[in-house]
Amino acid sequence: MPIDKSWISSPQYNNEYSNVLNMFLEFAFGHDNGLVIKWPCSKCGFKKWQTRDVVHEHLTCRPFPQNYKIWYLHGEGPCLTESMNGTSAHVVEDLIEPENEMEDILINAFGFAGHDVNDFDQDGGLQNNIGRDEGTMNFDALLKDNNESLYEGCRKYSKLSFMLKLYHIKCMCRMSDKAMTMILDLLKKAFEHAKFLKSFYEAKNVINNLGLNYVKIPACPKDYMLYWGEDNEGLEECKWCKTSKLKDKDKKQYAKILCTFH
Amino acid sequence: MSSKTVDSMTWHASKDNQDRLMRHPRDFEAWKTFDQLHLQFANDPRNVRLGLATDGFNPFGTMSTSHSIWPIVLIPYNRPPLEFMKQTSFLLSMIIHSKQMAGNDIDVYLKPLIKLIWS
Repeated sequence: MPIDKSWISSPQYNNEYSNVLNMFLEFAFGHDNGLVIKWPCSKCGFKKWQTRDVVHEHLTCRPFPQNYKIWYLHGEGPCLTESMNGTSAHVVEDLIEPENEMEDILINAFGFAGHDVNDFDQDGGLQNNIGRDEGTMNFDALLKDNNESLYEGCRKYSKLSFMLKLYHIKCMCRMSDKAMTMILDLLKKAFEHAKFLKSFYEAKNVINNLGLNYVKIPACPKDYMLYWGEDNEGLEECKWCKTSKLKDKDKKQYAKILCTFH
Repeated sequence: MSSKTVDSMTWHASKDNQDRLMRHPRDFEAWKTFDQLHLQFANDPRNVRLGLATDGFNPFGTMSTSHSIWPIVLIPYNRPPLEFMKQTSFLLSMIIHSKQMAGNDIDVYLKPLIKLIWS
């Protein structure tokens, strides 16, 4: 449903303005499903993430950005608007200057820019909601790490971005997990004031939360079936050849494993 | 997807093969026959044409028979010849760890992948 946006250019001390401001907040927080939104403020641009109260306060004191007519960052898709002409789309693109690549990575990983919120089907709705709550919590935790600078006065790296750069080096140079743990320990001892992640295990969890993980599916050692899907997941032995899926019953090792990266 | 990748994903339909030399799968008869059989799919050049490749190797010693790994790689054939066989455009879809190779029974392992592509 197209929303009336003529109020955007009206003066902000109007009664009408405060009413519709609430409407905007309802719209933005309803779509994002999280505690924070990227808030439109002419002074700060669209770069900071804030809670609802702060956004309300700022938008009351300062005018709503005049050019921001399609609420692209707040869950409004281009198809929802009636007049999707080239100029207004370009205005929004000009407003969004992605300075912080970490935020882009986070948004890509969690799909919070409002693309996937509108199109989940009714059957999977409940499951999706549960998943989103968990996802929102992860997102908030990662965002907190991203807003925290590595040490006091450091502008170049946040806690999250430093860890990601280090992990990138680990992957490119094929460092072992043990080497990574030892380097992290050394860094922590040498620079006491800096905020490194506690362990390599924690760093790996962050990578998993960003969607760069894989799923292990056990398979029948004679290639008859995968222990995958609702019916087969709980089975202990193959439906067809009755071979156990474990290689060693004491160690609980699977005989054959398929790793999928989706 | 970046704006540069978007351009190269429609390469296979946009450039004509003028000297008729074969340097990309789209120059072959099989590709052209596929286009004739599946008109709806061929209509939109943005539809992704994926090739699937796999090969096994022994991580612990060349002649080891106790463990082998089979990576399954997807290759986007939409892109120009200079790009589509580069390591950076390969998509590592899955890895099979086992004592023996799957051989012809590999179709069992492709089920999750097929489900993902259909959805």
